[in-house]
Amino acid sequence: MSAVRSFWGRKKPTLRGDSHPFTEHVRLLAGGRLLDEGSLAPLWSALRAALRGELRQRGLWESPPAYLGIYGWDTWEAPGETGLGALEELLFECYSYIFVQRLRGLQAQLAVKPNIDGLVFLNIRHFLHERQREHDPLGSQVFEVLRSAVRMAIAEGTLHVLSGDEGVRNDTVLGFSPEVRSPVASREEIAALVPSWNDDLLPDLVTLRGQRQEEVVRRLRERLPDLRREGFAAFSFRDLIGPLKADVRKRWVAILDQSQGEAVPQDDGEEGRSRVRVVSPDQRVEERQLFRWLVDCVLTGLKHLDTGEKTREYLVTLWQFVRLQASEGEGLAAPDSRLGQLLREADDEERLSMRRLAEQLRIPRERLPGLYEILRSLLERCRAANTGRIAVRSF
Amino acid sequence: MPTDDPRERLLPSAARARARSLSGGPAEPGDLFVLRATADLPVEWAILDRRPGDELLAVPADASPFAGSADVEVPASAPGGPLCLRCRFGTWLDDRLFEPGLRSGSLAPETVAEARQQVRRLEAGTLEPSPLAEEVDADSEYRDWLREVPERARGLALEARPAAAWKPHPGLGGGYPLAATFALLAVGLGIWVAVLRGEVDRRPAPIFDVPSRNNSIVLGERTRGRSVVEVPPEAGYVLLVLSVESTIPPQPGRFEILDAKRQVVWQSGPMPLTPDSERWLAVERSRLPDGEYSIRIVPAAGGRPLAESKVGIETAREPSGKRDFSP
Repeated sequence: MSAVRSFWGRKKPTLRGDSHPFTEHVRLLAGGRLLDEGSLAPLWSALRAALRGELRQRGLWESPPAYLGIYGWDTWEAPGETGLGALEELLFECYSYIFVQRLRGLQAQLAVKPNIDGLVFLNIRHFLHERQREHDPLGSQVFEVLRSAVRMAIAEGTLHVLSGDEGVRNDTVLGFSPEVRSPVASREEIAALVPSWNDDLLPDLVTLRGQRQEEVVRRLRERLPDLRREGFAAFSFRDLIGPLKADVRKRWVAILDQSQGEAVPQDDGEEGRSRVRVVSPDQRVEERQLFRWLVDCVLTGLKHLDTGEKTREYLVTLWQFVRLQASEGEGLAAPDSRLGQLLREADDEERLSMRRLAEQLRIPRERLPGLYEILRSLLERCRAANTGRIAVRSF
Repeated sequence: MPTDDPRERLLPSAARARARSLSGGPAEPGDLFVLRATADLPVEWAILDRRPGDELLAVPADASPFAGSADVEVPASAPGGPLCLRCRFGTWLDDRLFEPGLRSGSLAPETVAEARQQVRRLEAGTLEPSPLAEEVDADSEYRDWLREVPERARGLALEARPAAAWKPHPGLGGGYPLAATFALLAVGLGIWVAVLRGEVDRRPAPIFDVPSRNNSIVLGERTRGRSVVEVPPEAGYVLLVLSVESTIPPQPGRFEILDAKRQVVWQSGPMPLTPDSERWLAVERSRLPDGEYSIRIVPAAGGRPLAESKVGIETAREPSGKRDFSP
């Protein structure tokens, strides 16, 4: 594989020689011909390679496939077996996303350019981005805030891109001076530092969204010089985002484990336990749309709620927590129905430690039951609005 | 009623588009097109409106999963979907840009109506973003995408505009006679700054190419001293046409705008400077409040400016005429 600079500013993989398997495939589909195994093989092989490459680029290759909504597998490829495993599942989903749902757009572009392979690579990125946001909202949000903080520091001239993608990705190496490249902070050294950052940044790191996200971006940007004070001249973005995400997940799981149960011992030693998913909740488009609609509706309701600013702040924080809980949670229930379930379960101290939740979210413990009650009421009204029984604007 | 199979849904839309394409009929609201001018970008163009003078209101559309507050999302279950209409980058374009053979699909009438409504809201500044759309607005990937795709697409489409003179919109007869202030700047030291259309739209939607009362574009007359651009009060952008004089040798360089305190308020990336060439630049009005500015060309490698011009930006006193986006 070689790399070229694409117009959107990222290096993207290209295939050797004059081979354009994706373009050829779209032409075949446009021709209405029945596709046999022989005509599909080059496409399948190229798509698998491209997908694998992008997973590595995003640092997802070493992560559980569940972060992209592929459940029941520990790794992307089962050793010694080809054509089986999580990667194949993802491959089918990716094919559908690009060559079924977006076929019209691809065919349209073929009218003005001879080769649309680059466009397919772009669609692979979109596909993975969408899946990650949907199934790993915690990791996506931490990435977004850290990337924005690093880019802010670059714009201010306090950080410099030493190598890698200038748009700041996993392969980007950053330094506090454009000339000095060592010593480079290792992942372990960074891992020792970031918990103190999260003491200050959480829960805002994952619950402040929209216009208010800027506040936590600024606070995280102010922590970056800590690395310099520790004696490091440079670090890779990958080695910073990894430990930061891991620490956030660790703290989050501490709350979620209790409320979601089903924890099983693991041999890897990491945290001593880890949640597993045993079902494959293939969320349909309608379920995802309803989930997003309900999240949006409750947030809108909170915006217009007649209450004090502090209470509103608590409510938004708690709602963002429930939203993450519903997205990350396992089970047969769709995320939209999990919202209601989680709010109902909040009364059950066996399942959810109010003390721990209050600590993590920095909300006075005695306020939590009342706040949950308000959220339950808003969610019910949103559900009713969705079925047309009352108007959403009644908020 | 929409079917769940995207391939099935594709067929009626594609068939309609193909039929229209074969019939060679003119581009109409609801059509999707690809343009040769934006072939390097992953965009189509959705036509929302037509007005006298053979101009079409078109917005860039793409399949990126981000949908911000100014966008209209076309779901996979709707004709033309999945697609996102970037209404903030809508612009009036000459209908000759839309070749019948490049018609690529069609949108449902309700989608066109929603997008037109969105353009009106943007124009009037009455957009009320939902909390989730605000989250997308704040996303760095989304911002990058807007800058690199629809914004560039709009620039390329505008550059590709046929050389024919713009025809004034009949609705612009009253009020502020020229939503686009025609202020000719030709300020010395090697850079001609021709401010052809000072106003281009109403905040916050950047709708460019408001027809000019005076279509003549004068380049080559050097005007010494301070020049003034009058910008209508509600203008969201100022459009500048920067012309590089023939005496500047070809080299990599960048354009910069400095305020009265000599702070850089905008700068371009490095680009090849070609003598006797033009660059169109749309600057957000918020970046250019009333005041004195210097516009200059500097070598990409650094060093003394190759050319510098002074310009004053002032809010015009007369009210602007209303443009009507309705059918």
